[in-house]
Amino acid sequence: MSKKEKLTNMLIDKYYNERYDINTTNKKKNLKEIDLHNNTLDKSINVSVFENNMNKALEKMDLVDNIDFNISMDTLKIIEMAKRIQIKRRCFKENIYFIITSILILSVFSVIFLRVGIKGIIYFQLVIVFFLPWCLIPLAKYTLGREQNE
Amino acid sequence: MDELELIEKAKMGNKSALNMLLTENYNFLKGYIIKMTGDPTLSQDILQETMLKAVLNIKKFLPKAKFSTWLITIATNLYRDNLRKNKNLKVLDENMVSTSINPEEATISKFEYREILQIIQGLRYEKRAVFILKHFYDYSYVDIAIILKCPIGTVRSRLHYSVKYIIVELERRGIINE
Repeated sequence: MSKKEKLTNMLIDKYYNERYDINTTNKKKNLKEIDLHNNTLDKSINVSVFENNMNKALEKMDLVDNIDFNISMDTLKIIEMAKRIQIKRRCFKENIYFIITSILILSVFSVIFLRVGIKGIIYFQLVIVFFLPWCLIPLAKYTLGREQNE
Repeated sequence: MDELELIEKAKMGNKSALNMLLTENYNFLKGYIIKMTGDPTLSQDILQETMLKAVLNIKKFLPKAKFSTWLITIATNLYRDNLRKNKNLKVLDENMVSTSINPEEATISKFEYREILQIIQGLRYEKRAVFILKHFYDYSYVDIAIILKCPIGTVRSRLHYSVKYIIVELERRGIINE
């Protein structure tokens, strides 16, 4: 990097009040250097001309600071849309979990019944018919209550 | 209400807190996106997508940085993705409205601000983002590096390049004289 480039970079940092310098990590040192060599530098590489142009250019940039397009957006609608997406995603996840769990349970039972035989299936069905309502009704109540709270 | 408090409430699913957070940062975000894209349709799309993504991921937000900084990060990523998808975008629209104080001043500067916006659009998106964040929003190099996920030295050199490019372009177009 040439000396001129280094100095112009420093001037940009100075304009933006930045302390960070990749080589010296010391902005004060940079400014001191500019001040020290200012007279000679002005003659050789026109630092002040650059600074002047930079100030004018960056001032011009402020013209677009307040620029606006006719955009209007309802944030509440966006929140609603996001909620709908969240519900869709949750439903999708729940369906996937349901399918995976069902497949797992059915495979486990198939293996068990293959080993135990027809008697086992009948006993199992009797147990299920008797106990399942006692489990499902409280479980459904709990799930519905949780959904209403949400 | 404090921003942190709003964020906590929003994370708990409070819609009005979420709405307040978005409304408070709306103009800031809109301004940034408009300067980045220079296109009304794209600005609207990115603005909407940014807010939607923010709402969907609010639980992942860690309040190390400001909420606005997080929004800027999302918007920048979305814009980058959009650029990768469609390698076009150099549109400056008639819908552009300057909200300068004085109407006479606005008319005189209309040409200039279109030119200036064109110059900004002439920069590559990563340099443009650095320049906009630094010049218009006064973010530090460190913050910009975090937003753009790049080293501080890169931020610094991108800003230097952008400023030099802008000076050259303004001189070439006769907006400033040497």
